[in-house]
Amino acid sequence: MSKKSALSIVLLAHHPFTGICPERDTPKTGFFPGDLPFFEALSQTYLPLLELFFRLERGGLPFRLGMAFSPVFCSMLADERLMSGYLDYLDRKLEFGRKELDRCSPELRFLAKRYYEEDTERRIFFTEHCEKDIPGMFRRFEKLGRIEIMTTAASYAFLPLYASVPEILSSQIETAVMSHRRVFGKAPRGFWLPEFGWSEELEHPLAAYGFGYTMVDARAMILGNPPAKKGVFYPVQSPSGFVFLGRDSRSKTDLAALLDSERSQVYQKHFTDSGFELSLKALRPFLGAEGLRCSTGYRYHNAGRGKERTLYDPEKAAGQAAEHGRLFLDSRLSLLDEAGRYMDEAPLSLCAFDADSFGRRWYEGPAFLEALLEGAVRSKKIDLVSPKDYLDGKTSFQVTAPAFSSWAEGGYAATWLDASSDWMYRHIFRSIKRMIELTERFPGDSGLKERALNQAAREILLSQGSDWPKMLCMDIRPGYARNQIEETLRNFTTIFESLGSNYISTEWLTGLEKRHNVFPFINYRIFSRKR
Amino acid sequence: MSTRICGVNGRISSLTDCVLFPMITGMNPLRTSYGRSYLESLTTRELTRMADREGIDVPPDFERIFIIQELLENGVEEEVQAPEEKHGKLCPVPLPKQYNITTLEVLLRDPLWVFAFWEIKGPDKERFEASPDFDGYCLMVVSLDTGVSEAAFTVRVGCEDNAWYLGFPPQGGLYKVELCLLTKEGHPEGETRVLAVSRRFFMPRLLNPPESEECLKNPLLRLSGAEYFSLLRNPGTSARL
Repeated sequence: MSKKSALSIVLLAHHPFTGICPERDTPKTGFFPGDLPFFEALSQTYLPLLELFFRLERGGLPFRLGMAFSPVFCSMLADERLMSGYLDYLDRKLEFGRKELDRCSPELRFLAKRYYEEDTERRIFFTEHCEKDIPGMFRRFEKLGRIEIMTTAASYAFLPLYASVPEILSSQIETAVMSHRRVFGKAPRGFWLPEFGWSEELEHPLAAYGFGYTMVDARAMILGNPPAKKGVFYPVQSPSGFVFLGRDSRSKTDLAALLDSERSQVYQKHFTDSGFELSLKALRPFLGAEGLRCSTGYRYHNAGRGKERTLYDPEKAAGQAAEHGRLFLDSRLSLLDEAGRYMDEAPLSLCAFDADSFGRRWYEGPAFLEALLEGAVRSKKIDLVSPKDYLDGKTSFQVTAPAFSSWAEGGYAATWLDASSDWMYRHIFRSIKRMIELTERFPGDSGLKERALNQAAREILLSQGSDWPKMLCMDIRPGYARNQIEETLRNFTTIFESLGSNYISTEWLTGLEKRHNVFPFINYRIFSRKR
Repeated sequence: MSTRICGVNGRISSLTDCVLFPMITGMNPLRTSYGRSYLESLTTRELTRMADREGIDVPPDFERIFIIQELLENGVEEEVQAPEEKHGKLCPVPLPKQYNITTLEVLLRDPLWVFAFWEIKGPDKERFEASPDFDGYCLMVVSLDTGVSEAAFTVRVGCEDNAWYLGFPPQGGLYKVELCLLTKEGHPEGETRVLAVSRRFFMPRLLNPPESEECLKNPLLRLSGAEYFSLLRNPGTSARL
């Protein structure tokens, strides 16, 4: 057997659902605040990622990585109104850029010009190259054998907290499979656990829907029963044959250490965006609805820690990101080399990250990834693989039961269950029981009732999204997060009570279907009682 | 709603209102009130100046969202616009305060803490509490490890409580929780009546320090990051809520 080590980079493509936006029909009022992070993610993460793939492809580099697309994100990418809102966002950004070119001093103008050109090229790339079909472009790279695409829970729910309700697990998983088939044309083999949350109750539904493997945090492997003898460096399997790959937990700390180093001061300073520095008048037309400030992407200073701001140098920053990519690869090689001394098999380092970490949250992230992928492909010591590649041909694994865990701080469920969010579970659990009752009361209904039931299913899935309790826990826009949870639960309750009284407002339902238009294929019967 | 924390030894401490309602404790009615939307309309420089005036120490690189948060915590409760106001015609019903059922659910938060929440059907609750024999409610945590149900510990809960965090020993094990009605001594139907039972749940076991040391002797587990698992090495910690 070849003893060449393996490196697998897996990125999560997910964004919280932002559909509560009736104003989206009238974009002249500005951007809806909830949509902005999504637009930024497209401009700063997903389109740059696709540009990177094209660049590597043109260079003849046989790169390979895994990506998991959340069904809720796929729904947003397929929403025509949202995507036309994105074009409007790009146009307003270009208009703002022209104003910046006039406003900036010669010292800053070269940066403004760079950002303006970047946006111009990105618009052309999105409309002409991608034909506004971002999932289609990723599908292209899957067909070319460059990426393996996985799925995750429909609304990115933290599944261990719902482990006691099989109907929640199966509805989240079945919706994910249906979404994946529609978007990517085939059934997925690998399942990305939202927030790497694992508990043993998840295995049965995952296996039942045809998944063969998933990825868990190192804690799940090490505290498993019995502990995984080879740690995260080799997969394990459950007694029934479901396979688990362990995340290289050092990959996160190594990357964090690089980003915290003195050399990272050359990177773009995210929070000195012109959108938060200029007067409201100067920002027009690039303002959110009701005149809200938003990030413009026009940032002129680096992350230097001195009292005086230092001008951002994009070439220097990109060079540093590439250097950090190479250092990160070196640290993986060194770790795998050491692990390989204690193993007969080729050890694996599975590095799983949010895709947003490379772009939206770290402007130079794509340059880091490019250097990492290039270095790994050219390295003679390592194979760059997707999770499925690594598993192919392997049949013998240690049998164990991975432990309840997540990749969050603390390693368990505290991020999604604390004093800020625990109130919501009472309503979610009761609502899911009501949803199950509805499937029994209306097993074969059609017309308006079926529409209402399908919308009830969407609302209950959306209420379970892990993004909202996480925002509450981290105190990030808590009012918005709480409102998202409450609104979906209220909508569900409204439908439930309407069905009880045998009256539902068609106008209200139609409006809700437009605003919460995820999972258009949904069939409420996925909530049928599991016996 | 009242949420409490309880340790395995029965020691009870309130999860303070400042955790449940973070805006309340920071409020000073004498201060100027600022809404989030107003603060978000200001430049970062203006926010920093305002923070200075409020006596909030803002480091040079402090992120804008945190400056706003600090100002809000020193000023007013965040305004949250109700959806019915925002969306004009939409009038979804409010979330029910009660569902008029008797139920008990448990959610596993980590190997040391479980979140239990319950409800007692309204008419039943009124009847229980009006009875002269009524002596309160309790949560009885039952160990199922030996095959025989055995009360591990009992926590008295208030009539208005509907959720508690329950602390468990680090040894793990199989448990269930029962919501019980307590009646005064000598009641003909017994002194404890079970109103609702949770599902059975398995608390994962934490490694004790010698086991952790043994675990770290395996170089592959050490290289996997086992030494970073603080819970693994400090199973005694219970002050994480």
